[in-house]
Formats: sequence, C-alpha cells, structure tokens
Amino acid sequence: MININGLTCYYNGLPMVKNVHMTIEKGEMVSLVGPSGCGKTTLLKAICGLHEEVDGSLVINGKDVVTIPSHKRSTIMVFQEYLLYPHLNVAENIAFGLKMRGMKRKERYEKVLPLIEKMGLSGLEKRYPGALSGGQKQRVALARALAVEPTVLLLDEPFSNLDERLREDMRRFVCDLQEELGITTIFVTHDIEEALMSSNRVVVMLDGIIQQIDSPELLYRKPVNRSVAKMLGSRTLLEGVFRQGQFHWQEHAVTIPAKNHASDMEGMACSAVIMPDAISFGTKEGSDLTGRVIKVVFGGSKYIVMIDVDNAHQEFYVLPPQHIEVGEIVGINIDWDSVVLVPNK
Amino acid sequence: MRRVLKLSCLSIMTLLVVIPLLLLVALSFGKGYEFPRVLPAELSFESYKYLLYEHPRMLSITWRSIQLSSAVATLSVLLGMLAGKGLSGDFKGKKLIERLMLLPLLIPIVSVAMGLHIVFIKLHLANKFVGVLLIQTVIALPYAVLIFTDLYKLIGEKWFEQGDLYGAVGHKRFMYVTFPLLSEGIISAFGICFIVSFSQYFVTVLIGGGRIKTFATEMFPFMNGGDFMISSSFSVVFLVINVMMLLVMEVIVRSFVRRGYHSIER
Amino acid sequence: MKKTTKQMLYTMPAVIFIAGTILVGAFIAVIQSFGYFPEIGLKNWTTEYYRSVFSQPLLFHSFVYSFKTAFLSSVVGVGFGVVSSYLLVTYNKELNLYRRFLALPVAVPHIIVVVIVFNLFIRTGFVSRLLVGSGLLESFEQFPSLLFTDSGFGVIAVYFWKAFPYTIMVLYSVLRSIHHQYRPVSMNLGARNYQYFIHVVLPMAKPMILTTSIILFAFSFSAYEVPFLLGATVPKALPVQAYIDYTSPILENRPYAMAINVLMMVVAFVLIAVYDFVSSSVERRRNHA
Repeated sequence: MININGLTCYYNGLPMVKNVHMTIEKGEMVSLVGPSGCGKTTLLKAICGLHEEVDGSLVINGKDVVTIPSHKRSTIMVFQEYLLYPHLNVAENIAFGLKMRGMKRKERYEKVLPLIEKMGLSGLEKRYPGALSGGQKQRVALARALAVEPTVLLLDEPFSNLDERLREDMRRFVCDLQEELGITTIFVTHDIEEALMSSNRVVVMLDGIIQQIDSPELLYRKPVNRSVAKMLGSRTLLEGVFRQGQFHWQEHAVTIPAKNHASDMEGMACSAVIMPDAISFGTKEGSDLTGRVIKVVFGGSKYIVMIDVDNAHQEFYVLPPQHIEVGEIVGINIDWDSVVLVPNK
Repeated sequence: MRRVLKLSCLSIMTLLVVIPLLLLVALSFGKGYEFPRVLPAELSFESYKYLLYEHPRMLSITWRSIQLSSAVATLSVLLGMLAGKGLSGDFKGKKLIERLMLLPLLIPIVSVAMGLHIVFIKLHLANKFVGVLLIQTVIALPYAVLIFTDLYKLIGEKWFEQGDLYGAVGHKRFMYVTFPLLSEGIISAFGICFIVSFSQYFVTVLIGGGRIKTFATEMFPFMNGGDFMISSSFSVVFLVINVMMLLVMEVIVRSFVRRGYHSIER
Repeated sequence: MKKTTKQMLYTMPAVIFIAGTILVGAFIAVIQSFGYFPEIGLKNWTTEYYRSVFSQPLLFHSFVYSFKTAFLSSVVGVGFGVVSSYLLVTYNKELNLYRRFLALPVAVPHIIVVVIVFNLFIRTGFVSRLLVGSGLLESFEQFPSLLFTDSGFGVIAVYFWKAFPYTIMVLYSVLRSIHHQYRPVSMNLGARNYQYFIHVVLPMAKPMILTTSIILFAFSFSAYEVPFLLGATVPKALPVQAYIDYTSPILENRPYAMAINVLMMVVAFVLIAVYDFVSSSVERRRNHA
C-alpha cells in the first residue's frame, strides 16, 4: 500500500537519494539500513513530507502524496532526538497532534489515557520531559505519534540513543506493539543486527541508491553485491574475476555452484563471500591454499586473521576456537559449496 | 505571496530604524531648515564648526571625555574578565553574585548616586575625575561581566587544559591562550563600556558637581532645544567617536594577538 | 586551594566594587530618607518625608507616568521584536542584511535617540514637515502636540525604538534553534503555521520574552535622561522629580527626594524578584518532576 516509483530526493539541487523503487505492504515492518549519510533519513523525511525537494511518485493507499504537505499526510515520524515539547507534560505532549486537529479537551484525554497505559507510562502523565529517562522519553514520542492513528509510522534510529540493556527491551516492545496494532512501519537504523531482528524485510541503501530489498534471511545469506556483503560484516571477501564458469582468484580457479551466483557474470570483477563457518585452518599438506599468518585479532564471536597468501595480504574471518600463531604457515580450507559470488560494486 | 508579505513587514521595520538615523546625519550637515522644508536648504558644516571650535573648550573637553571613558572601559574590562572567569564555574552563592552583578542595570543608579554623593564628598572624591570614573565604572561593569561570563562558558576548560599540557602557564598562559581566545570579547566589552560611560549625564553632573565636564554634559542642553542641526551634529560626532574608539581597540587588540603568534613562531 | 573557592575569588574585585557602591549608596539613601541627614543639619529620625510622598497626588501621577511609559514601551517594543524575530527566522534565507540594520539601535545611546525622536515628532519636526509639504496639513499648528505631554509619547517612542531591536537581538538565536528542531515535528503532527506559532514557539520562548520585558521595564522605569528631556512638565517622571528635589536650594527637599529614591529602589527590587521567580520557576518545572 506504499508504492514508491522513481523517487529522487535533492538537497540544494544535488540528488541525495536516487531513483527509489519500492513497494511496502500494509502492516509490514520494514527497516532501512545503511551507513551514516547514505540518505536513509532523507528518504524517510521525504515519505512523511518533511523533505520537499522531491521528484517522482510516492503513492500511499492509492493516492500520490508527493505534492501534499506534511500535516495533511497521515505519515507520522518519531525523531531520533524525540523532540518532546519541554513546555508540555507527558499527557499534553501525547495529545498534541489531536489538539492540532481541533479535538476538544475531554475527547483528547479519553484517547490519550488508554494509550499512556498501553505504553507503560501510567503515573507519569503530569511529568515534564526534563524529568524523564531515555526509555520513557522514547515511549512518549511513540505514543505521541500513535495518538493520531497514522497510516504509516516512521522511526528514525529509534534505539540509537539508548544504552545496551534498554535497547533490546525497547526493540522487543516496539516490535510487539507493531504486530499488535498492524501499522505499516518503516524504521531507519545503521545497526544491521537490529534490522535483521526486527523487520519483515530489510532495505539496504548505500550512497543514496537502494542496493537490495529482501527478507532478513535472504539478505544475510545472499548479499547482492560486495558493498552489501561488506556492510553485513564478518565475512571473508576474496576479490577476483568470473571467467568461463569459474571464479579466478590470484592463481587459483574454483568452481562455485550455479545457485550461488547470478547467471550473467561472465568477465565481471567479483568477490567470493565466505562465512566464518566455511573456513578452517589445518596443516600445509592437503589444503588448497597455504599462507603465512601475519596478524591475529580476537573479536569475541570471531577471529580476524591476516594471512599472506601468494604474496598478497588477505583477511580471513573465522570462528573460535583457533590455535594459530603469528608467523606460522597454515593450510586454509574453504567449503566452496557454500560460497556466494557477488559482483563488485 | 507570503514571502512578499514577510519581506515588506521586515522592510518597514528596517526603515523605522534606518530613516531616523539617516535624518540625523542629513540634519547635521544642514543649514537653512526653515519650516516647512523637509530637508535643509544647503549643505554646510556650520553646526560642526560651532560645536568643535566655537563652543568653549570643546576639543579639550572631548579629549578628556575620551580619556575618562577609556579609563572606565579599561577598568570595567579588567574587572569583568576576572569576574567572568569566576562565574563560568560553579560555587556556592554563585546565583547571588550573578544577581548582584546585574543590579546596576536594573535599579535607579542615579538614586544610588544621590545616596553616595555625601560619601564621595567626605572621601574627597566628589568634583574630581576619579570620583566620576569610579561611579561610571560601577554602571558599565555589569555589561562587561555579562559578556565575559558568556564567553568563558562558551570557550570552556578545554583550551586552558591543552595549554597547560604544552607548558603555557602563568603569564605565558595569559599571553598565548587566554588573551587570543578572549580578544573578541575584550573588543566588544570595551566598546559597550566606553559608550555607556560616554553617555552618562546625570551621574557625571551629580558626582562631578559641574566641575568635571564631559562631552555628554556639554551636549545635553542642546538635546531638546530648538536647533535641529546642532543637536544632530553633536549626535553624529558622538557616534563617530564611539565607532572610532571601537576600531582603535580592534586594531590594538588584534595586533597584540598577532604579536603573540609571531613570538611563538620565533 | 579548592577550585570553586578560587572561582569565587576571581569575582571578588568586581563584586566588591559593585556591592560596595550600591549597598553603601542604598543604605545612605535610606537613612537620609528617614530624616537623618546631619550634613545639612537634620538629625531627627522621622517618617514625615514618606508621609509627604504618599500624601501628594502629584507624586502619584508621577508614578503612574513612569509606570505607563515603561510598560507601554516595553510591551509594544517586545511585541514588535517577537514578530520581527519570527519573520526573520521563518524566512527561507538568512536575511543577514536586515538583521544587521535592525541591530543598529542597540548601539545608539538613549540621549541620541532623544534627538532622533525630537527631530521627527516635534511640532516643527520631520513628520510634520512631510505632512504640511504634501498638503495633508495646513500648518504646523495642526500637528498634534506629541512631545512634552502627559501622554508620554516621546518617552515611549524613545524606549520603543531601542526595545524592539534589543528584543530581536536577544530572541533571534533562541527562536532559530526552536524553529530548526521543533518545526518539522510540529508540522508532521498536523500543526498549521499559526498553530505552531501559538502553541509551540510562543510557549517555548516565553521565559526569554518575559525576562527581556522585565529588564526593559526596569531600565526605563528607573532612567532619568529621557523623561527629563522629553517628558511632560507635569507630571514629571518619578526619577526626574527626585533629581529636581535633591538639587533644589531648599535643603528640606533632599530627604524628600531620598524618600522617592528609596521607593524607586524598592520597585526595582520587586522587579528583580519577579525576574528571578520567572526564570527559576520555569527551570524548576521543566527539569524536575
């Protein structure tokens, strides 16, 4: 019920978000992921009408809203800094949108009080934002958006300002709420894990261009190009070329199963994406590749090992436990059947 | 459409400000302003000539006034810098001191001066340059304190800590860290305190007892008299002196800052 | 020594300077107002001067005059200032030129503003000449007597001309930061422009607007120069009356003048208390439960 076609967002004449095509179903929870500055917040603002230099079509529930000002769309955004009104208490903050729509006091509070309860804010109605904790502020901001019954809910980095413990609780709270209310929701984050855990589908954006839209599992297993794979992290990336049905990397040529790569990659520069569980180290003899260990870094759930293979330094991401030492000559075994080949972009 | 409306409102407001000032300048250079001429008939320096040469001892009075107000401004800036530094931190009774600093701005200072008059007489400060200097400093000081408090808060501790790390302590610290950072504040605080002191009339007449003459005391009687040209000329000269002092201060302060950098380079 | 003590010591020279003079001056003013003025031969403590002050209708009119001029100029000045700042902030571009011009009056001392108002509004002044020159009036006698009247027009005009640029200077950056953050949120939640101004901008800027008004009021209520030059001959503004009585050759008028002075100081202190109350109550409300 959201149909975006050829949407381009400009800032001072320069395109920040280019040619977006996207369809979002009613009740879906979609996350928009990407590094800082990639344009995801700009896209979010364009959807809710706060960014005006926009070209293309944005159809919500059958109506093109590109020319409709923000206060007339039913797309409500919750900002990263919450932006609660310091001169209003919690109840008044939540009721703000209703007041703007001309609802009378009694009616407003009839709507607001059950919402306060649902958001776990009972007892805080008369408090002012200055006296609230981070998690409380966020729930008030959320309640304020929900009070006006939006068609689309937009969340800008909702959990970035919270500390670790709170983040997980709030994430679960928001996801449960979204499922219960069935409101179409788009949220922006730079945290891949959060996106994977919370959404029905993930939209990956880099440099203003949408790279991939897929379910979390599909995105995780099959990134569409090297940049996305790199963004997902913890994957070993080998750069090479695809020629005559084989992946050529340095002096080696390997056959990758057809289901693990696109069909028209002949002659393309590409990368082999290898998950940590597909690599094991062993003895020199009997291994496809050998190399000398230059550096070993422990990262909790993974090891990052820099190895000199054929006179080139390559980083390998592997699972613990590992018992290798710097200077050692090791044999590297890769399960090529599970390797995905992606174009370099 | 709304843009045009906004711009016209703002333009009207700006004209409300600019036109009176332009009129002031126009009248000061005028001669032959009989009713109902809208602007003076001729261009002339007559009123300037009167005010600077024919009015008894105007030039020396003006010079003395500049000295007086410079002294007031300097004293205010020094005390204000210290106070601003003190107020940028937190300590018990800070709020009280902050309020105290603002007192001269809000209470009827001439009333206080009337009370002080007797004291000054007994201390042999009345009818003297020093007495007027002291009372004017009390009036100008709050402005300096306000500027430096805000400035110190803005700058924060970091620069001073950095300086300490590099060994800039004591007088070196003042020369190479404090002074350059505060230089803009010093210039504007001096400017404001100078103007405040230069404009004082009642206080000067009261404490100075008519003996101490300043530009303001000479100017005052012409302010509501019949001669548009003279009062306008006085006003223009007044403003010019103030602007010039500001520029002079800017040059002096900036040259000190640059000299500081040069000696570092050496 | 502890850092905080050191901080306090830095403020000491300025504090002593100001507190010393003001407290001494105020103290002596109080004593003199109660009749103890040995230097001119009065040694009896008495409240007769205060009784005199309160029983004079003329003095009451002076009070009203001072109050009226201070109040009107502050309220209208701040009002214009708020509207101008809002216009400046909500215009798409920076409008630096306007801002710089609008800030000029802040640097112009009051006595010069008196000259400006005089040049404009005296019966033979610029405005009158424009009207006569364009034929709307026949002679300067038809131009209303605006200055030196008990309407306080001249005084109000002077303070107004300084009040509204001062307000713009003070309010602009505050409004700008409110605007930058809270306009998108408010628009998104369904507020139209006028609703945003009334329900978001004004309430958020209210503390600053109130404190600025109080400062302007206090300053104009207590000031001498302007009402002396442009005020009515009757009633004289309170400060002017006090000065005239103090410098009068009748020595008995001095304690009477001091009584007026003390009363003005009391008003000023009340204003400072109100200022304090406003700024800290808002702070309290917004930062604690």
